[in-house]
Amino acid sequence: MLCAAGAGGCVSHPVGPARTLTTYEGKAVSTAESASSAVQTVRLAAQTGSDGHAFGPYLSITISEQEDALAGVEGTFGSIQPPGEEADDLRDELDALLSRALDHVSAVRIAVRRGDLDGLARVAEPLGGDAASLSAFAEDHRS
Amino acid sequence: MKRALEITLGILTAIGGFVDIGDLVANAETGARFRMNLAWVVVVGVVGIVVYAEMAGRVASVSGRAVFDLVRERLGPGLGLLNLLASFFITALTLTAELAGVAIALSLAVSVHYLLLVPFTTFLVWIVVWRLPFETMERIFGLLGLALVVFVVTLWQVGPDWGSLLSEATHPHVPSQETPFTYAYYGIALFGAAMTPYEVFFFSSGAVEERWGRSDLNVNRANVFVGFPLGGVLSLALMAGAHLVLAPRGISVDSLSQVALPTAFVVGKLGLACLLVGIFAATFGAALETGLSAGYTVAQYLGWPWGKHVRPREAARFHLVVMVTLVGGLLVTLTGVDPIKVTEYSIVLSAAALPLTYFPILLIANDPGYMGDQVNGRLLNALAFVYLVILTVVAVATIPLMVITKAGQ
Repeated sequence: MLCAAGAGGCVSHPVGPARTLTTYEGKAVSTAESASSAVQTVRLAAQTGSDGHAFGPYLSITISEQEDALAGVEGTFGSIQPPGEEADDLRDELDALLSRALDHVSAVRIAVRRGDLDGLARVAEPLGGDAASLSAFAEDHRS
Repeated sequence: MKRALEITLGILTAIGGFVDIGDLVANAETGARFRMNLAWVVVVGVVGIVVYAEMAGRVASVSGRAVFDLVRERLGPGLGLLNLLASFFITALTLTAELAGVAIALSLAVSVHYLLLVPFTTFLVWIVVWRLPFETMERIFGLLGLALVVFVVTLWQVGPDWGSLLSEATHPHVPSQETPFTYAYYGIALFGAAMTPYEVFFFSSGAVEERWGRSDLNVNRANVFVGFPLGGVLSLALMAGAHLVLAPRGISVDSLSQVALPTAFVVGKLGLACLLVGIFAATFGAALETGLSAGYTVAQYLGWPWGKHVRPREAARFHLVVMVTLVGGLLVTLTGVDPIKVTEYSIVLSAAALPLTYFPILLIANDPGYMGDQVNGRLLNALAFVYLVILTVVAVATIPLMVITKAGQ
C-alpha cells in the first residue's frame, strides 16, 4: 500500500475520481490554487528579470517549469469526469481561466527566450488579472 | 586556518544533511505554507542530531570503528540486517534525488534540461568518490556550501520585523487553511530531514577516514557544535525568506527554481550566483554523503575493507557497492520520476526508520567495553532517552500521517 501511495505521489499530477459536485468543486478549487501559485511565480520571476536581478538561463528554466506545471494541472483537471450539468459550468469557467493564464505565461516564456528581459514586466502584466481571477474562483467555490 | 579547516567534515555533513535538495524545497515549502509555525521543529531536530552525532563521532574516535561496523556486533546479524536494509533503501532513494538535484542546480545556470545533465553529474560524483582524497573532498564541498549563507543575507535584505518573526516562531499554531494532520506531517518531514540517518553514517565513517583518535574528541565536538547548528540556521533563514517573499503572493513551492526566487528578487544577480554555487555544492555534497554511506553501511555490516583511506584495490567491494548504487540512482532518475517527490518521501520514510539508527548508537556509547571512560554522562543519557522516545513516536506516526494527508496535500 505504501509503495502504491509513494508511486502515485511521485507522479506530478495524480488524478482521483469525483463522483459528487462537492468533490468536483474541491478539485476545482485546488486546481485554481495550484494554477494561481504558478502564475504568481511567473509574475515574480518576470519582475525579477525586469529589475535586472536574474540571469536569462535561470529565468528561462523557472518560467518553463511553471508553464509545464500549469499545463499539467489544466490537463489533470480536464481529465476528471464532471459528475453533472452544474459541474459542466464549473469546468467551463475554470477551463477558460486556465487557458488564458497559460497563454499569458507562454508569452513571458517566449520573451525570456528571445532575451527581452527588460520588457518582461510589461509582457507579464496580464498575469495580474489571471492571478486575481483564479484566487476569486477558489474563494467563491471553497466549501 | 588549520584549526578552522578541521571542522569541514561537520560543515559538509550538516550542509549535505540539512540543505540538500529535499530540505531546500521542504523548508521553503514549509515557510510558504506554515510561515514560521514549524520553525521549532528545526530547533528540536538540530539538538537531536547534535546529541547523536556527537555520540557517533565519539564512538568512532574512541573505538576507531564507525556506526555500522558496531551495529551488527552489538545488535546481532538479524536486527542488524533489518537496520541495513531500511537504511540502505532510504540512503539509495535520497541519492537518486540528489543526483537529480545536482543536475537541476546546473540546469538553472546553463538552461539545459536536467535529465540531459544527470549522466554527467553522476559520472562527476563517481570520479570524486573514486579519485579525490576524503579531506580534499570535504573541504571543497563543505566550503563551497557556505555560499548558502546568502539565505541569511536574503533575510537581512528583506528587512523583516524581527520581533514579529521571533514571536511567530515561538508561538506556533496550525494556520487556518491547514489541518493538524498536514501540520504534523510537515513537522515530521522537517524532523526527519534534520536527523537523516545517513548523516551519522557519513559523519562517523568520516571520522574513521580521517583517523580520529581520543585526542580528537575536541575536534569532534567542534564539528558537531558548529556544523549542525549552521545547517539549522540556514534552514530557518530559508524558511523565513519563503514566508516573507513567497507566502504573501500565494506561491507554494514545489521546485528548486522557486527556492532561489526570493534571493534573486531581493539580493540580485550576485546573490543568485552565490546561491546556485551553494545549491550545487550542497546537493553534490549530499550525493557524495549518500553514495559513500551506501557503501559504508553494506561494507561495514559485511566486514569488508571500506573507505577512501585504503587503496581502491583493497576496498574493491566497497567501491563496487557505491558504483552500483550510483548507476541504480541514475537509471531511476532517467525514468523522469519527480526528484522533489522522491526526496520528500525519502525524508519522511527515514523518519520511520530513525530508532533503528539511533538506538544502537546510544547502546554502544554506554558500553564501557567499547568506550572505556568515554561513556555517556547521565545528563546526556537523559537527553538521548527523551529523543529516543520522540524518535519512536515519530516512527509510529509517520506512515499513518502519510496516508491520511496523501503525503502532505
